[in-house]
Amino acid sequence: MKLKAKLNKIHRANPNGVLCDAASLDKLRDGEVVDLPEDAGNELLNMGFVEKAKTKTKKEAK
Amino acid sequence: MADTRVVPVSSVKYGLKAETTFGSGIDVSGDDGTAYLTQPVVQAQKPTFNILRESRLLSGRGSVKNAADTVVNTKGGTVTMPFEMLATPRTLAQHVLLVGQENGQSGSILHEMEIDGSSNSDSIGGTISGGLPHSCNLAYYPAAGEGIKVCGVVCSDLTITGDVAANNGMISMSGNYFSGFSNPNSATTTLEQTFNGTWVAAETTYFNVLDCATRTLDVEGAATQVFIMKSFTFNISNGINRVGFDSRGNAEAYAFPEYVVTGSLVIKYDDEFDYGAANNVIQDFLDGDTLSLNIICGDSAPDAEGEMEINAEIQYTGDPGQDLSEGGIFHTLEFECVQNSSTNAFDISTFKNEAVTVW
Repeated sequence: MKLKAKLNKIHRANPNGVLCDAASLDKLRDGEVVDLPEDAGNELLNMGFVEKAKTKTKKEAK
Repeated sequence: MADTRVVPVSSVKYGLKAETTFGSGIDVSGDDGTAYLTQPVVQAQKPTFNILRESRLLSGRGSVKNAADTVVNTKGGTVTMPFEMLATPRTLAQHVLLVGQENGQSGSILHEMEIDGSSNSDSIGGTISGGLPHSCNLAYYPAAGEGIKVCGVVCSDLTITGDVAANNGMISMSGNYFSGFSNPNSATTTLEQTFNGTWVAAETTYFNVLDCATRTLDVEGAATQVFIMKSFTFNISNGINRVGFDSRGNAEAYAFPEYVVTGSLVIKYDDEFDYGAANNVIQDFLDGDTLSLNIICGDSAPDAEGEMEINAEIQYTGDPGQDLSEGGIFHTLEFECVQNSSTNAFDISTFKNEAVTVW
């Protein structure tokens, strides 16, 4: 699932205590949209540290 | 030859699991397969059995007590156990519930515990529904066959502390567990217990006082002045007493006669909080003013782990003292929380996306 961090909250995610890999966590902290496996993504969603990234449809993109 | 076994302090763990029947063991089938929630303590303290032991020197025994003349009664006692740990989202939400016996849930999921003189349980011991009222099985576990299971566990008191200069700013909590189930037997508090369930690991998200973005306090006529904080402490106690006895001599109920919340706040002496007109903290004490205090750990109302909000109506209980350091003068404000008309004496909201029934 594609996720984007809540930048004022993601700093509380403990890199040694969440399923998300360190590289992806770094990207999230940098504000990037990251595609995470379901279990890792759902964990961060439950913690309130990320939100689902809005994906634009082709029509919207134009 | 003496035994060479050593038990490292860190090899002992303890966990909690909410009861569905007051004072009853969740798994009493032998080995306890309950999935206890591991508590993130550095050193697990042993439960203490506070029972009656009477040792008498009877007439006719001469000048030394006789072994036959002592009386031990495990009925009617209590079991207590101190704890101290860094607060985590679940442990904080659960422990404020264990001491306050009140919980409101909203959204996904904000847990609110308020102390208002009417919402908190005056007693518990009846039916448990949806995890409320809240009591736990406590598992203290040094080794297989050597565990202690204490049932009917709640908190008698809880202290929540945040200090920029302690624990790297991490907010901690400490207090005491209390149980009125002091008579061990297979259905409730048990000794020599093996816990073979899959315990839930301790959480790894914490609260940091340096995340407290919102810090406001009334002073004299000025409402919600922003303060610079060095530390805060809240102590919540419920005055618990065990009531009655069942066929095993264990408690039939607990009474909570008075919820008391006291605390202290160390804030900077500046133009918002000084000894001058309109901002005089001493005048607040002398006038007996009731002041609204708001601390939010996080960037908004709590909607993520590691965030919480405390609202309190406080009155200073002593002349504001001073904390003198190279950082300048800070006020040391000791207070108690009081119900102010319809405004809660104290309430704390924490985010943990779990229902109470999961605990």
